[in-house]
Amino acid sequence: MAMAEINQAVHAGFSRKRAFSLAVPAAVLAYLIYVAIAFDLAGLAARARWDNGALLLQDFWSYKTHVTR
Amino acid sequence: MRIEAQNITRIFGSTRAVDAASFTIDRPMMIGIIGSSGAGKSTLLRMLNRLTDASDGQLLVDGRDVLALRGGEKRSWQSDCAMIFQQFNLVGRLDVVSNVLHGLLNKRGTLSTLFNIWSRADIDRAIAILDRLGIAEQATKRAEALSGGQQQRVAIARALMQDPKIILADEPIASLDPMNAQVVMDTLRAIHDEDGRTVICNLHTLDTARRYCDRVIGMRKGRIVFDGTPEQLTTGVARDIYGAGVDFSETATSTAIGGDTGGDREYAEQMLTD
Amino acid sequence: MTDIAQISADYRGIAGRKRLYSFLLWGIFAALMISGLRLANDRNAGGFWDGLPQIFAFPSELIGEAIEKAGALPGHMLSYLPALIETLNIAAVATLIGVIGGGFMALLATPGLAPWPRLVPLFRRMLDIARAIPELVIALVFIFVLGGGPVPATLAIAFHAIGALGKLFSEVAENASPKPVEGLESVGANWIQRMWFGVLQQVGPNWISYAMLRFEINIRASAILGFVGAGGIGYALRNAISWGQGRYDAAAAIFILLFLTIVTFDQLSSMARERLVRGNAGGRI
Repeated sequence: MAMAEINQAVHAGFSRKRAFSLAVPAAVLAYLIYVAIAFDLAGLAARARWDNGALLLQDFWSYKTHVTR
Repeated sequence: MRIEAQNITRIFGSTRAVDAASFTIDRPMMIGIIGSSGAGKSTLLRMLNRLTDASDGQLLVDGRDVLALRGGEKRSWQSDCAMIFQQFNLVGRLDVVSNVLHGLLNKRGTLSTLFNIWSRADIDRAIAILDRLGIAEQATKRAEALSGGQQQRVAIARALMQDPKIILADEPIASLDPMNAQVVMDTLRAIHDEDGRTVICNLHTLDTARRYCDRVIGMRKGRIVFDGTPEQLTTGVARDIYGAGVDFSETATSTAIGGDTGGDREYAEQMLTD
Repeated sequence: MTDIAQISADYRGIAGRKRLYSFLLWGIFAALMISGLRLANDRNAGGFWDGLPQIFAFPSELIGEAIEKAGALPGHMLSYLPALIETLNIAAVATLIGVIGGGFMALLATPGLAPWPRLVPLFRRMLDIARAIPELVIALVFIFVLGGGPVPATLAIAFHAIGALGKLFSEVAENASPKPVEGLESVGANWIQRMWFGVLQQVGPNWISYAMLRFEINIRASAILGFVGAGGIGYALRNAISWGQGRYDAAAAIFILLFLTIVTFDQLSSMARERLVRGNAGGRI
């Protein structure tokens, strides 16, 4: 194999590798964006009830009845 | 470039693997370090490259103590001080050119190297180095698909890609058959002659050291017991280095003659097929 | 001669006593079991033996009703497709987070590769904890805070997956050859570069294989978490399968859909894994 041929083969191989290693993260990112929309991540922040979380965490150090029915 | 080792010591538990090693290199030369296995040759070389931390001592390179470097500065020194290993230590699943380009990992950005983004000039230089070492034909193959001698030349190509001031070689031919051993040693010698780089080479065979090196350092039980030219290395001195009796003959340490190499080759092949 | 006779007699004696002891032990065990079950049976509302014939009452009613309305099944299956996709998305995102998080944690928790060797036990304990807490418990906490929907389920499964995959990944990474890593270290490559080129190249096929196995598990977990209100097809199934709504045909449709999905993905991933493993045999480090 002549040097020019080797040179060309190596450069072609590297463009392929580069394309692949950029495409995979791009695909993952695109999928995550789709899921973020599908799962309504933006609306979630509004729906979250942090007081509930605080209540749950409080049980670690003080356990008395917070909710009575 | 002036390299000055002062009392470099490494203590593993209670044994002094390297005990107060001192030497000075004031001009580029090819140095062979000889001694029986366990004499501390490997530990000394690994300390120079900072793969192993020294317990004590200094290595002054142009006045700067590289043994005290940390983090990024230490890695920067490592990129100036290439290392070649007995078992080649290539990434077997990657192709040869990628392995050679790894020599630039310290000098290029982390992110671009992770995404395989190399400049055209870098790739061309890698191919040119492979061509110089006579293995350009193998450029697109996986490193693990190559023979031991070819893999060691890929490792040398990676070292050259670093454009280092010093090349350290830790038993570079111990896993190779006599033919490939000679090719690798000729290559290292040519790198010294043509590029004017300092080459420090651990060898467990006397005849190789005699044949290729300008200067020989003999180690025994962690201490430097000989430092001089190959001519000064008489059989009597060699006997002292290897701690052998009067029945000592140089052929016992030679790889050029059969017998001893069988085990090495078998071991190398086993390591390669693993 | 007498010695041998003596020894064999002794041996038989010991063996007989051993048998007697184990027989007694089993007897005590059986007595405890029987009395315990009796007690449980007495204190329950219904009786075990009275209730036994009714064990098939619910499934038979479900199947009967489903067969009765068999014509509606394809329509139901189509209408539950979005819920199924949501379940699959939950499993996929959780697996993705599990692979990335578990991969990082595995490298941090593997001796010889970890950038901070002293912190290896800490990261190992963190993985243990993540693995030890069941998905269901984490999901209930997240649902309490975030409300129902797919996000709490995803976070819960992902948390567990990080722990489970982290341990498996770490075991694979421990067996990787240190030589390429050392070679990269000698050229002055930083930790990320050493892991990327030296370790991931070696462990990649095995890690992917484990990740696909985890994906299969996560599909089931995601379907189950729907029952506690975390969206997806499990949630739809819970609503359809409740007593006395006359919607057993929908429940049957969901069952069939879920069954087909799980079988399909199991087959696909086992095929892919087999290919990966066979690829391994071809002289990998």
